[in-house]
Amino acid sequence: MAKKKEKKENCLTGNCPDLQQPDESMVKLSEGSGGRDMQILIDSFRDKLPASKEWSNCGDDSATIKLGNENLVFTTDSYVVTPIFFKGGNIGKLAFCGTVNDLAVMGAKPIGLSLGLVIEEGLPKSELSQIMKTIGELSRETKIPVVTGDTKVMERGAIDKIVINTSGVGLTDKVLDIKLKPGDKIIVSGGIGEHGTSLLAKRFELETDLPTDSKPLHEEIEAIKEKIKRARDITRGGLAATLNELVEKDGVRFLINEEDVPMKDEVAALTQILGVEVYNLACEGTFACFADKKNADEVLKKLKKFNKMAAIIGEVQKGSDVIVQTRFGQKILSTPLGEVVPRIC
Amino acid sequence: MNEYVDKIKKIASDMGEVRIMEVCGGHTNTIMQYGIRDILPNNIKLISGPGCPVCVTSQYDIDCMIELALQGIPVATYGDMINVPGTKTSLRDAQAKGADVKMMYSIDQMLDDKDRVFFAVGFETTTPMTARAYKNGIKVFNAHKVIPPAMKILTSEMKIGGFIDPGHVSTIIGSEIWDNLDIPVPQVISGFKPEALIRATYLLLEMIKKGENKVINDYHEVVFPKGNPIAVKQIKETMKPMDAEWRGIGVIPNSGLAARDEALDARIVYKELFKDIKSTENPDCRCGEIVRGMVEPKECKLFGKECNPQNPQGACMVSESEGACAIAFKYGKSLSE
Amino acid sequence: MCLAIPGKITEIKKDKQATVDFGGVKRSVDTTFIEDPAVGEWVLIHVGCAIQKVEEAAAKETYRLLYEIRKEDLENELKESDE
Repeated sequence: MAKKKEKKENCLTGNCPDLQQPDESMVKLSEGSGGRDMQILIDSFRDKLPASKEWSNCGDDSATIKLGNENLVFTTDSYVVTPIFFKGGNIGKLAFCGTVNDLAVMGAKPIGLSLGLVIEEGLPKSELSQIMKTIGELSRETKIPVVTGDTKVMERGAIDKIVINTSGVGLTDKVLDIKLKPGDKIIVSGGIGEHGTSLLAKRFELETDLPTDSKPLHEEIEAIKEKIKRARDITRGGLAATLNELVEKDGVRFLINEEDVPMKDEVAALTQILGVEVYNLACEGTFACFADKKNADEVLKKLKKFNKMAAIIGEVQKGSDVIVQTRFGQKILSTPLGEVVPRIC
Repeated sequence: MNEYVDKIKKIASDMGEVRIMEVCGGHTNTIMQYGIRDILPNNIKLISGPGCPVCVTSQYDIDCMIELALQGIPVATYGDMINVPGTKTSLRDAQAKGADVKMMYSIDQMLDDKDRVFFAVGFETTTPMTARAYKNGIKVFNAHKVIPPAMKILTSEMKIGGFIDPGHVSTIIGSEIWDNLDIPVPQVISGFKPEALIRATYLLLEMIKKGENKVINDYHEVVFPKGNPIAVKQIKETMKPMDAEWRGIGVIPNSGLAARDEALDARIVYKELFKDIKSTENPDCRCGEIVRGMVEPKECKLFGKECNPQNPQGACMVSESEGACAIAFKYGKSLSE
Repeated sequence: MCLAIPGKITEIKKDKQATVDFGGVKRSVDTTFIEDPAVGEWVLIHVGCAIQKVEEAAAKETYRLLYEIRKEDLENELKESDE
């Protein structure tokens, strides 16, 4: 970009600064928030990694590779959430469920997880024990074993309490990566924004009884797998991030009917109190799925058995972008950029 | 749809172009969040005025606060201010470099933190909270703005046919102030639901058609003639009017507020630190014209390219919920094409 | 300019504080600017401070979606699916 040194009308001193460029030499906090900033960061180093011809879906929640009649599905995720204990769970629960769900949304039956722990010196052993107990209980309930792992301890201050990485493998005969086409219906498995509400509330000293919605989803997805084309865990970045990722991937438009989008009262309240859009709030145990319109009602009926708030929220159309039909006009829903910041005024 | 949308279509059918301005970030946000411009007839233009307190904070004020932070003085402010670019950097970048910058939702999150300097931004709705800060002995860098003086300038400059008055500012200052504003156009004090804004638009069109210059209070559930007398009293006790610079507009007399107690006035207490600050704005940045409603965001050549929410060049792009450019980017950059 | 929404006072605390409930989310708010706040009254809250009293009916009407419709819908849905 050419430097603008000549004096202009609006320039009082004759020393107008160059266009402000962000400090690109350092990674910013917003680049980890699941929104557009993060995508840009990832794209910037993705091309340094050689691509694979054998593996598919490498940019997705999980990557897949054909092994005989089956597909092996492989995923990984790291968990750095603060606080590590919150209503309804702890970081261990998120770590277990998050990875199980990344496998489940590809249609896979999870067969084993790895568990990597990086622990800050000084973390109370009782807290570590509680986290491991939670993971153990989930493993038992779901019959998904933790089969390998690693443990490291870092000096006090080097990290914030604990970082957990879970990787997982699963198998499926049919990978849920069927391209969407106009007419397909968009369905969510339950109310959105609960996890994000829970975290934001704590940060801004708002009390709520809302627990996190983190839970394993493999049973729900198994129940509808034959009737859907795609599924996506709605996590950081909220529904907006999830939907935008897919319109780009499949080259379609989504038309969402705002009045059909389900959310709990507390979530609606929080979005109004803090002036944030519900579409940008993280979820943890809620997913979006896409079905041919002839299957949509059946899928919904099955999902409602797990969560009464499941709903059909829109449909796929020709075009691009995610459009939301409000009870008045329409608006475009874009990917959130970085951290969710409440409005002041 | 809504009965008022139909009424608007009817009444507007034999009117020329009508320019209605709202001066409240909350109103701008509702308009975009519900796509209200889409459903109004083409000759009725809803224009966003300088209703975003973040957007009208002067570059100099932002630079001063960043300087305090970089000098190791703990500071606090509300959400969006953290990301606004100053001449060289922002509070967010200062924070990344180690400055003690606290983002808060409410003043009670820092009332005990007497060493922290509070960057007070906002219109009259937020001023009572700053009064509390002063009463608690907190030093404040006061960048508050008072809206009525700005509206007089905008009326003539922008050929405005009617104003939608800010609902919650009015809750504090009362509805009588608008009666005494002495501008030659009608006004409606409106709430924030999309239905309220549509009704306000209709009521304005009715008055414009009849040639009336009244003020209608359409938010009477919380806006009373004298507003909130307790809040007004505390504001008067702790603050006095001052001339203030509005980014993009210039200095408007008596449109800002300063501490009565000079020991709590950060502009005075820290003035040595500010003496070398030279603030400049990007010459291609059209925020100034945008906050006056003179141009639409997409008319700025930086919009969506060099200037975007990840890399804002001016304040209008920072405030994701009240900045006209950020809102346009978020909600409708291609719907309007 | 300002993001303010109504909530119901559920508790009066000392030092001009009160607990306010907004459709299930609660917060401690400052009541300095309210004359004689009482439990059960509705107030308009902006950045953690109550700025005006509001009539209950008006508050609920302004935020109808928030306070009534969803609760009703959900209760009805729950009733239907339990049958």
